[in-house]
Amino acid sequence: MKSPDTEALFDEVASLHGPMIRRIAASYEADPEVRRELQQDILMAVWRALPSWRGEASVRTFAARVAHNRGVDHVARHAKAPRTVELDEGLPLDAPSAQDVVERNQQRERLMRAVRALPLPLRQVTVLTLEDFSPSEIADVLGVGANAVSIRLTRAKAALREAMQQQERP
Amino acid sequence: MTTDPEWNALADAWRDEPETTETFDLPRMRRRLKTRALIARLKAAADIILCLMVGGIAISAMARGTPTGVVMGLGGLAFVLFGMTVALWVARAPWETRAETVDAALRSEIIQTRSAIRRARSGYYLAAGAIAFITLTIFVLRADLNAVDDGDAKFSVMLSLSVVVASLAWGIWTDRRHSQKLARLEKMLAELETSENEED
Repeated sequence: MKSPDTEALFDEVASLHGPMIRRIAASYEADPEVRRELQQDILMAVWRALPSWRGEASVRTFAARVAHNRGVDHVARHAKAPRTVELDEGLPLDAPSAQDVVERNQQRERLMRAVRALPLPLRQVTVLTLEDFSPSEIADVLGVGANAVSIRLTRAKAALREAMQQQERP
Repeated sequence: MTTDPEWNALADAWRDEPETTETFDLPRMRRRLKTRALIARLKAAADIILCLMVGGIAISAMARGTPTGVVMGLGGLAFVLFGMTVALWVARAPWETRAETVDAALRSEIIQTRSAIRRARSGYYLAAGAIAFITLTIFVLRADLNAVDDGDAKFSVMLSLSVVVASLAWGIWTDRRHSQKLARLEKMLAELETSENEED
């Protein structure tokens, strides 16, 4: 049994950082059904790991770390071949289908595809940067030096730009 | 936010999700976790009870003092000891949480996968041990076996061998599955390490 504190912390992770977990899962898995399983796996891993959280890093950093670790594990377990399923976020749109909403969704879709196509080391720094983590927090999550983060970010930006431009070409 | 406007624009697009009705089913997840914990405890308890039962039967067989009883008892004790040794051997992998850094977690996952492979391969040794034990049993009890119904004896031997073959098939399947996973994990670790080396 978990202590009430742990249960409260878990609820906090699920409610406050649930969207981040969803996006990290999406960066590792394109298939909507499998991705939902991955999200559940990540939350289960958070639940198991929470008693070891000592508060050295923020809960958000902790959750991101667990999410990436599960994502890597998921790739190792399932990715026999690159996923070819088209991105279907499966997230119902409550907003009206105005032109700007469509364009924003398309841009997000292109970005998600480009992120997913990045090599693992670049993908991880990219996702964490897009989730608004500072370089030192990224270094903490990944277990690499700040210099490595900086170099990977420079490479990731170039790779991302190239991948998105490729998608825009007819 | 970063100081790089390009990253900031991308981050805005990244987080600009449509509203979602997709939520995590936390109560269901808690139930699943509790069930898994209970199953793990029951499995551990069943292993201990089985060892104690086989050990008890072996000792009582030895206590009879007959040559057959002593051989059977020693065989049973050896089998229990062998099984426990294998169980401890495969449990060498440290159970680390998934909260380590990505690099550390990957290494930990590799250790755990290697442990799973060892567990699968230990099935080969256990199968060999079981076949040796069945052969020994038939050899030692051949005189007694002739006295009992031949059909029953054959059935017992065939049942034992079927269990051994099924265990072996399971071991081969899990060995293959975990070996593939290990190869992918090692490839990812190499990818990360290459990236770090290039950055040094």
